[in-house]
Amino acid sequence: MSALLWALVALPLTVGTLLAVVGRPVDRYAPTVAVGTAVAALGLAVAVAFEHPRVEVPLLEGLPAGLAVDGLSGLMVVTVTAVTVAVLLFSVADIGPGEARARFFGLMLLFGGAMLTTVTATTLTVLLMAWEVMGATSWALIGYWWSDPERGDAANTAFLTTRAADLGLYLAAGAAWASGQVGSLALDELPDATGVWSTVITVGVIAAAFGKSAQLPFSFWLSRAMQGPSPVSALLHSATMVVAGAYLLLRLEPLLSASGWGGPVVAWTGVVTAVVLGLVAVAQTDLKQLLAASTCAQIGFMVLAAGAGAVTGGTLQLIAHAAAKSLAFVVAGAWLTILGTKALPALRGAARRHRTAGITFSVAALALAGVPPLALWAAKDVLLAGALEDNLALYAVGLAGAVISAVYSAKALWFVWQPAPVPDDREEPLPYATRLPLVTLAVACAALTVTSFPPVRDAVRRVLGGGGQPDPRVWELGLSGALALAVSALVWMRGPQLLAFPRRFTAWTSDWLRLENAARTLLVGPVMRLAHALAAFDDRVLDRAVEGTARGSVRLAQWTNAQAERLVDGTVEGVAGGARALGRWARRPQTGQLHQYLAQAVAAFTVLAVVLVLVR
Amino acid sequence: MSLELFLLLAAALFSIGLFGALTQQSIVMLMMGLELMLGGIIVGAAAVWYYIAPAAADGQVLVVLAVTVMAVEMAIGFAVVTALFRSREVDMTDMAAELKE
Repeated sequence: MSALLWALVALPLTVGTLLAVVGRPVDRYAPTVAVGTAVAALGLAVAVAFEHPRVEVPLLEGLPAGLAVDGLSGLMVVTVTAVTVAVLLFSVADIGPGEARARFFGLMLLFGGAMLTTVTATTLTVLLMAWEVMGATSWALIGYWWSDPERGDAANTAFLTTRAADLGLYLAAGAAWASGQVGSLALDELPDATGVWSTVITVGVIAAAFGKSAQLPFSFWLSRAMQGPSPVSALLHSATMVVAGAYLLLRLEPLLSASGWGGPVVAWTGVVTAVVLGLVAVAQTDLKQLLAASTCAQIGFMVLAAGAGAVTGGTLQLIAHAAAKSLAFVVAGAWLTILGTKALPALRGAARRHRTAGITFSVAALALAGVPPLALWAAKDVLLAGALEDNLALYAVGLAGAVISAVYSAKALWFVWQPAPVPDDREEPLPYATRLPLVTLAVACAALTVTSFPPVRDAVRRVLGGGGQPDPRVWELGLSGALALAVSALVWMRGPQLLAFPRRFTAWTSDWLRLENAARTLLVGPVMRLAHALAAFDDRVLDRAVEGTARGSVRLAQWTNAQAERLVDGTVEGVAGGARALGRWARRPQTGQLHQYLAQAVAAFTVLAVVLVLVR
Repeated sequence: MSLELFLLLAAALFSIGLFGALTQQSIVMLMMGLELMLGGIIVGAAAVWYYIAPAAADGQVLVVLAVTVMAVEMAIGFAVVTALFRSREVDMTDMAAELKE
């Protein structure tokens, strides 16, 4: 059984790496191989979801690498693989034969595989590895058309933002390790940490999750991530990357509740994101940007669920949102490919020309709007019931967020169903590979509703192992459904003209609250300035000091050479010269002439005699 | 006439010869000093034989050997000096410091 789990993780990662590495030569076979791999992974995911295997291998001293499938992971792996299959099927049509298909499909599989590893990881070590691979592949996918500098720039922005937030996870892992209370860095044991360590762990986890999930204040990277190909958006926004943060918070909900302050902070950030990014979505005039802002808002609900302890509701919301959002992005991508535009005004009449796309997009948009009987309506109520139990304000703001989601969804719908300015009713059938995932996902959007009602909801709750979460009362379901219907109908009838906000507010929200500018001014600018200052300091002070030292040394050496060396040299030369002169003097009497030796001896003895005589 | 007188003569001859050998710079004079030293030795040896062991002929043989050696040595010495003088007009020891061709 554990072999299935290994296979589930290894299959997409291996095939993806191979495809991405080999590249161009296997472009022709890449789509087939990738879709086959994804389908196989889906089968494996369903198998492990029922079996709940658990594997562990030694990795580092005292830090085993573990993978396990429990209730939450089981639901997640099925969601991830199912969405991956659907998106890859659409990619076959969207990423045409002329593109670098092997690289694209390989990276997509790697991306999905990293997400599968993330949701099955049992220890922070493995989670970090998968988290990083996911971030790196997201960068490569957003910048897939690398020859366009703007797209590369967008990829860098997304990567740097998420990467900066990821440091929180390292901080948490470090704190967990340093505390000594979390032996093997297992995720289940993180709530056991106490004191200041627990605080640091919670802060780090929350920061990393907010960054990945594009919650406030990190939301802007999602807007830039729209520069990537549509299938990438469809996968990144629905079942991978952005939901990784939400998943992490849902998984570590005990940690949040143990800290005491973590729950409320997370819940309020989520709900505020849901409202504010909902308003941002309302202000967008570009379909993909609207959907991106909507992703932030919808993930905000999952984060709210994690903060309020409504794990069941959050998970249901996550699954339902994955279906709806991937569907919406797939349709938006199809329109972008066919019509060459993603601006809402230019998309007028798009739904009429492509009926399949139009109807399925409507299903997705209505699901996002929370209109009954589609999945997100009930799922949202399950998690809002948890919020209501926490406090009423949280529930009220959450409900406002839900209403706002109805506004932007209806706005998008209104545009695509408007009659085109130039009537053009030619029915252009979408490629079959695109239609299949569209219909499947649309059916899923409707069918997933049953998961939010007994008996399936209770089964899900049992599987997730979270007891004691409140169920939504009938009036809650009725209220949210009625609100969503009423607001959607109002926007639909009156058109987006009724959304006449003050101009400045619209400018501010359509520019994603200028969060990126804020990040640039508050963080990037100062960091770059500091770097420049440090570089100048390095050049002018440190470098110069080193150079000066070197130059001084050389000068000192030259002076020594000139002055001291001459003295020493002179002394040595003098000694040597003196010795030579003495030697010459000493050689003088050594003539080899016997008579001269005799004379010398006579002289010496005479002196001796005189001395003896005088001294005695 | 007695042995002491002869030994005195021998010592005087030897001393004069030694002085000459040590002091003379002229090669001819130096060799004359050597001649006198050997002469002294011959006189001493002959006197010792005559006064102490006249019966044995050994002494006579020794004296004759010494005379022969002296004659041969002198012949060689003068031959060298003559050759030197002919080639480089050398007649002093100082000038013959280097014996190269």
